[in-house]
Amino acid sequence: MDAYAQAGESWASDDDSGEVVVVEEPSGTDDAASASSATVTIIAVDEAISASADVAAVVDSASGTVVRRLGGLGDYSTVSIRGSSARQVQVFLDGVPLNPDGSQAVNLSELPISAFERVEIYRGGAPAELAAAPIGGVVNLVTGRLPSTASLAYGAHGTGRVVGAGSTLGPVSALRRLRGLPPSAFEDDLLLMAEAFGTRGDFDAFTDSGTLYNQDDDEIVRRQNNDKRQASALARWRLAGERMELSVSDSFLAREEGLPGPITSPTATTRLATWRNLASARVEGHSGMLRVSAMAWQQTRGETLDDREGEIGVGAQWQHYRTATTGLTGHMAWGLRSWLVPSLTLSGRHDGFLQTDLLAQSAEEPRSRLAGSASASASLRAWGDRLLLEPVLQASALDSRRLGGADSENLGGAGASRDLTWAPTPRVGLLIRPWLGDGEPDVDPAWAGLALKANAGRFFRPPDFTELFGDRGGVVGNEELTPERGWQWDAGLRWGLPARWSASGAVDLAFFQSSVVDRILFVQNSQHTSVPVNLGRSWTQGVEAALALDLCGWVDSQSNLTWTLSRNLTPQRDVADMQLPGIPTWEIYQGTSVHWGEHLRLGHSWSYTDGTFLDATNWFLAPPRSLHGAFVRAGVGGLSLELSLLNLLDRTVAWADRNPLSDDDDTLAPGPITDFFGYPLPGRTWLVSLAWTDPHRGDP
Amino acid sequence: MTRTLLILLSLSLCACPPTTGLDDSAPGVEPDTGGGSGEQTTAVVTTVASDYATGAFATVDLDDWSISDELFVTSGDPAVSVSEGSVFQLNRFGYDAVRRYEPGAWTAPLWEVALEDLSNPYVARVCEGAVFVALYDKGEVGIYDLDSGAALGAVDLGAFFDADSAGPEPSTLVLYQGKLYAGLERLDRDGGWVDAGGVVVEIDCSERAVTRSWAVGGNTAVHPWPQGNGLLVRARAFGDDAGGLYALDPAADTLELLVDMGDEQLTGLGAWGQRAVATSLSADFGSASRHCLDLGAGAVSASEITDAYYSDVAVNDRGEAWVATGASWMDPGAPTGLWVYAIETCTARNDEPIQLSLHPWSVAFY
Repeated sequence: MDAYAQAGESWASDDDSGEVVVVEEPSGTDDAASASSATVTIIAVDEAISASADVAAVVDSASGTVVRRLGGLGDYSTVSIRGSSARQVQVFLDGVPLNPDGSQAVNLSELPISAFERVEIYRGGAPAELAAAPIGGVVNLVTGRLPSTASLAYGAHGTGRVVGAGSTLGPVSALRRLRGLPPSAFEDDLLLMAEAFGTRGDFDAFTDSGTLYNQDDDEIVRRQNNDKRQASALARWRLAGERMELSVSDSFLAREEGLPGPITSPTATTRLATWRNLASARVEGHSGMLRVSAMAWQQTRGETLDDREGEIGVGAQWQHYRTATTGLTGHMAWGLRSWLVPSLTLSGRHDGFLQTDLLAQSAEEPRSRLAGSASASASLRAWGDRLLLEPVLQASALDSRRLGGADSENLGGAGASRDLTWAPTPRVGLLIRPWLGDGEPDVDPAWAGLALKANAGRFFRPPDFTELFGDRGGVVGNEELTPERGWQWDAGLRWGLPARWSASGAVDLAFFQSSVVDRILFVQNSQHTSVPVNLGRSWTQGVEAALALDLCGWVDSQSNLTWTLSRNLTPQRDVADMQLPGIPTWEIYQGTSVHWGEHLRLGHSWSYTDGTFLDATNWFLAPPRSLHGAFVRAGVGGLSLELSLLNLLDRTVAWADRNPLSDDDDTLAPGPITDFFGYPLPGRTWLVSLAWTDPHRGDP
Repeated sequence: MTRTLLILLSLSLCACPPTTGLDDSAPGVEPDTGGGSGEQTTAVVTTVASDYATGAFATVDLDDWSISDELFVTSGDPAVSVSEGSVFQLNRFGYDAVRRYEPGAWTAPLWEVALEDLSNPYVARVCEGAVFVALYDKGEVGIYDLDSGAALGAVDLGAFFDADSAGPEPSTLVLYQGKLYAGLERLDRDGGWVDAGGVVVEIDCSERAVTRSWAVGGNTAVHPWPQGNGLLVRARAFGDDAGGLYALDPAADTLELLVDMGDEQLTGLGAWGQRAVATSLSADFGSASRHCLDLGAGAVSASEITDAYYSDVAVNDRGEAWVATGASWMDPGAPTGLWVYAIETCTARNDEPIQLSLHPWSVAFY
């Protein structure tokens, strides 16, 4: 049982005895989403996904998410949920936070998709067990149980990937079987995954050379200094008994890459080296009415930025940054009544940060802070389990008194960030399944799968170390930052369509609204640097709709539509009441795959965005973007060969008003298709993959 | 301390220098000194958004201060210069380019040329039929054809390189009596952007070469001195040189200290005869100030400490100093706009700043 796959699990009662037992609801992603009050999309990482897909692509296929990339495969990519910033989204690996309290924008390209069984995207109502209060939502990557696989891929721009992964018996169980002993109350299993990825990243891209009015100097140039090399590994040992489970895991990443800079001002030598290790241990057990889990984890991350030529920041820089986070989380749930399950979650964390100037051979004073949260929550069931109410009373605290002295006394010294601060972050989730009880004679099966959902809560995010003290490339910290605070609510439904006419599926529909105060935004403060500042308030609302269909057992379809309206409510007159940049008004995704067993699978994806402003003043409206991808895979036995194509139609240039301020000048000027100003996305990209998968699908 | 201070330094010194907006379009002839010719009619202003992601171009009528705003888009770090009847709009921050406009015809530039990566153009002046552009990060003064924008070469400043390899950081360029005078900041980037001793160089436009130089203070900039005698040079204290304002008379080859500002660092200057309006940053970069200077007495007659960020000071031929107040990231709510000062009396002519839709960044006049 995966304690953090909350959506797939609930308490229930045996009506005859009144005894409260823990039951695991169907693990299928559709059913799990229907049984949770959370607005969640659960995407299985399975054969329906192309070999060229990465975590970013999988997350982007959910409604309400926007992935922004600095380039192609392997390049930096982040996710925004419901108009949030990337830092406002918390990413977890099996329930362990990679960026606790939004301590950084997680680069999704660092995460190997091959390691995961499924991806859970909580847009509203994240489980209390995660001890999180994210403004933007949660992405939880779940390892689960992997089939044994090995794959080799190679493609355009020198992109290659080698993966080996699998689950097997653990040493305890293996030894027992080897000796011919009968099964014991405890069985263990082992999951191992290793991936190596590399790319030259030297795709061709359009540049106008920074001259809107002069098309004579427009040209196609090859991206330089954009190569990446990355190795990652994950190991997990799990010992499970009837009432107890222990798991220990470690995830490691080493990455070395060039930072190419904007296309109009490319770099030649700037490099970034990153390594990260995440170790965790978790124990959970249940006895009778009590269920307890505890987890300890430590994440260490080191980054070395080498800009000794001064290409991206102010002057030469060669810096090393080290962050270490150690955390403890405990969760207890008590099945007090068949209809009432109160629970308690406590979480504490220590963050450490050290910045070293390798050029000057000097290290700044180490900085640290403590953070924690406590929550009391309950699952209240009524109306024959048709109604589920999940209130969470949570408080989050941050002790910044040990952050150390101000580095730049000229800025006024210690500010608000040196205090002990706390914030109430309560929330509540509601699930109503009016026609639960499929099979009863008076219930139309068509309505049995209908679930109505609503969530509301308050959230906060303290500024991270980079925002406070960062000194890297074009980013300079601001010690005076205060936490972002906000609230969000949503209401919607999930309708599990009945299996009729050889078709099945689910419909999701939700309306959401959120507001953030003291939103932290990076603003440029010199020609080469940006500084984060608290800038007033923003507000976002929208509608998400999704339709998942399985037709005749050989056609899978996923359709998403997201409409988002956002407003910047900062007092600055030039950006006040404008739409937030980078958030499309309309986003459509259509993924379709047709398969004949696993002998042949054809897949196609189409993503369309419109109404995206590239700047806060809302002058630069990106033209509508329509991107297609496709793959074809043939397999026999456990072997498969796949050809996948990204940006199938090779769209790299968009035409837009060269002077959007003028009503008289209708002249269009070409520009590269980008998610971020100056960072073009690649054109058509191919990848060939040869893979072997154990037909036993990971059963040890 | 280190880099944060450097960033503030760059904010005040690198991001957008005063562009010495007096129209110096008549080579070989001193600017009018007879109490103001009043020939100029328009202020051209580049503006930037609060997040510095985008910018725009605007004009303000000098008589009634009527505004024509958001005429065309610029980069998020735009400068403007006026010379020989042409308006030059210079884009920086990853979009290094120069546009030449005919005043009033803002639909499209006469030409636009991209500069080499990391050129960082600061100011353009027309001299001997060519356009000379101070390229801050490239460490040279580029020369371009006035009619086409084609590159013609560069003035070699190799003799003035400091310890780093980034060049001597030319940031100001003034035309005086047929020659160009460039202020070289000379900051040692590898050493933490410390002063390496600033220099003013004289450039012979026809020879396209440096003919003379004067070492003065640190982080040095040169300004026109209408109704004065020669040029004005502002500099930080460096070595034995005091920080403050100097008078440079190229004809007499003399350089003398006019106003000693101590540790206060002048960031902008608008002079008219024996008076000047200046802006400065405190030594710890924690506050900005606005000053009235009496150049004859060599004294600061009045000072006011403010929370504002002064992005530029420019002088027109009416004896007015236009002080651009940009968005202050330390106080994002502070009002921004253009203040118009009568330099002679050092009094503001407006009670409220002239507000544009974005924040003013660079000013010049035609």
